[in-house]
Amino acid sequence: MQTLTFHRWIVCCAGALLLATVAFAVHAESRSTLEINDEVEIDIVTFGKPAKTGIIWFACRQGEDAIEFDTARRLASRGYQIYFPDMLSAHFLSSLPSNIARIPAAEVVTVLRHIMDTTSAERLYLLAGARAAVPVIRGLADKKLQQMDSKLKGALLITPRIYKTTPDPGSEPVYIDETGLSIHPILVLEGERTANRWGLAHLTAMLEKSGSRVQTDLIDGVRGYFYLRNDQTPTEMEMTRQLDSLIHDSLQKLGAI
Amino acid sequence: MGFYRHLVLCLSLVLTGQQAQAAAGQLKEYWGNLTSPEIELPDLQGRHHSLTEYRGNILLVQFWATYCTPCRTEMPTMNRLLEKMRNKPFKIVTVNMGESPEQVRQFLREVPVDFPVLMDSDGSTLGRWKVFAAPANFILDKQGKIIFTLYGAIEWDSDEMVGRLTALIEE
Repeated sequence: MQTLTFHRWIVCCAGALLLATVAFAVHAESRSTLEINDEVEIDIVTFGKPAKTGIIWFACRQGEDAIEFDTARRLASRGYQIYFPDMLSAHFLSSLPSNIARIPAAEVVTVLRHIMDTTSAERLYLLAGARAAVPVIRGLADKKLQQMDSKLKGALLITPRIYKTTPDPGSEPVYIDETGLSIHPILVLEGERTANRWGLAHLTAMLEKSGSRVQTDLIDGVRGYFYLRNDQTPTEMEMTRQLDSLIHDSLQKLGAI
Repeated sequence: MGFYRHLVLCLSLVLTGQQAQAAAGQLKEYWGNLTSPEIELPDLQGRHHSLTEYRGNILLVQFWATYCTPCRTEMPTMNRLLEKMRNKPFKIVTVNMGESPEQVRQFLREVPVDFPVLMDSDGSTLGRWKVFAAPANFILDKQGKIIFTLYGAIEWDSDEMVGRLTALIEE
């Protein structure tokens, strides 16, 4: 009887160890550092084990309490590998959405090439929301990156804000200079409850100028950059909880553009 | 290093704040190519409005939405502006940006207004007026020509604004 109990105990322990190992492997979080030059080093946090599909997520915020990290863990459980280049810390910039637009394009491209060269993923997607869409647009505009036999399959932009300045009433929006220089497919998700939804046709026309195929979708009941807001409505909270599903479904769509 | 990082953070916060202040809340002379755009839209009661009805007045046209927090804040100041400009040729017309009548009625129960609220249900008027942010404000002269624009919320009933609008009436 005692032997049976002991065996059962051993089996339970082994099972728990196996589960923990599997869970760790799925959510595995690793950090690496990419030296850009003598003064700039960029940390890259990676979630998930090597996978067929990788996501390079340019985030306005980083850290354990960031919704982006939480979402990345859930995406890792779905079989993605997610890379977070921390572009802000390298320049001592705080996590303000406006700051990520100040990152030099050359650094963005270096980071993208590094991940493309080192990943085992067969396809890579870029992902960004709000002002963090600026480095994505700058990266996509790079000619050498466009000429590489690329694993890069497109970009998913969630409520992107790539204006040079907020558009004046009665005037066409002016976007950052690299807008319209991309060739990769782009899917833009915009909040249904935002004035920017009325500019989607204009934005699409601009993004398509050099050959990108662009598709747009509205997310019902949410405002711009809903998952980054401090004043979330119940609908926005729910959509934030489902952010991994939204990204997963959108990447399927993006792959088919 | 910690001190340096702190210093850089503080500086960037100050600069960002200054940029935000500069970006919003000031009347800008309008040099765009919309000269005298028209609005033909129904209000919540279904009554049709046309901007030609307002010719002869200095007119504030505002595009707004219930989800726009600054819009909620400034609408009472627009009511007070209208009161201060009573008996002068000055009017306000607002255009809701594609929301449902029920959403707008709910908002107006909380924030009652003394000016027409027109419903641009399909956003076509927004497109013609090139509105890409809210609140978007236009000041039209007595001939219906856009002379100023303003993005963002302000205290519409401030002495400065009342003075500027009065001066436009007297031009």
